[in-house]
Amino acid sequence: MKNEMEKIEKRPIQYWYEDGFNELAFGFIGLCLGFYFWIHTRIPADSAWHVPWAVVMFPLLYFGIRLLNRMIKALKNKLTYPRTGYVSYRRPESKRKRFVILGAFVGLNTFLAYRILRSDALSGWGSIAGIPLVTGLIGAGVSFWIGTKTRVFRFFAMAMISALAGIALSLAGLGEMAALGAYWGILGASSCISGAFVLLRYLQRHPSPGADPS
Amino acid sequence: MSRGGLTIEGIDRLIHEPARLIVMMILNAVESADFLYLQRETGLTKGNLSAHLAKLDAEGYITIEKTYKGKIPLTICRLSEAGRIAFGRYRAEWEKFMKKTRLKRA
Repeated sequence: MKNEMEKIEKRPIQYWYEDGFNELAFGFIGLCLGFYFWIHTRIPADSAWHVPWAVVMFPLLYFGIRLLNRMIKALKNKLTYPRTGYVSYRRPESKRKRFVILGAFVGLNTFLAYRILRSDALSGWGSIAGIPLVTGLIGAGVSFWIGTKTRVFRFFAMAMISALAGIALSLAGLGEMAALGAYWGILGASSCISGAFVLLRYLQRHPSPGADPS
Repeated sequence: MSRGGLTIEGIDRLIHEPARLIVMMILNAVESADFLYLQRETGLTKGNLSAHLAKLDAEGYITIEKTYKGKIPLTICRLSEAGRIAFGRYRAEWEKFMKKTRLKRA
């Protein structure tokens, strides 16, 4: 019975991922990041443009994520809730967890930008090793954690893709920035494809309440 | 309530009914949910779910807010503080009972 209870209590969390909008949004962010890092590889190594381009990442990510969150909410309001019902989720009572996650995120990005800036200014593309590998393994860990928490099994597949892409690209000899761009491109595209399939299946299973069933 | 010498007096019978238990479990996991979502999750008919929600509402375990979204009526249900406490107590009592049952079997 305890397992059954846990299963039922997990349902609202799974419901958040049932329409695929989150994966589509994450996939879009991934593709943008892939494009961002690809642009980095096109800027000559001695160019002064590396600094503003690295700094621009933070506001772009921050506002991009906020905008996508609003879009997800609007799409859920328009497509999901009229079909399968509305759920409002509880905000975590303590702000500590959110601060820790945000801090870790900002810290990782600062470290990344610092490495990018240093490598550009001092030693060129080939000097940093392993950022795609570390990113791939962290991405895999996060995806695995979400999969375990929600029991949505496609997150385990995403974890595998992330780890494999990170390992393969770190060994491919593309250079740090190009490999990072390719990693985000692969992850973004996989997430978009997965999200699109989930959304299509969801829309097929749950036609609009106003639609003629015949 | 007694089974083979084991008593579960602490069990809240209002929550113990399977359909209402599912409603309480779902509402315990979220801030609020609408009627359509609860109907889909419980698999109950509209009338049946309404009756169960009315019982929980009458006991003060949930609050029901009837509103509109555009022109579509929306019934939002949320667990009240009393409901959250009662559900926590129910859960603890049930787990205690299950533990006793296991010990007895062993």
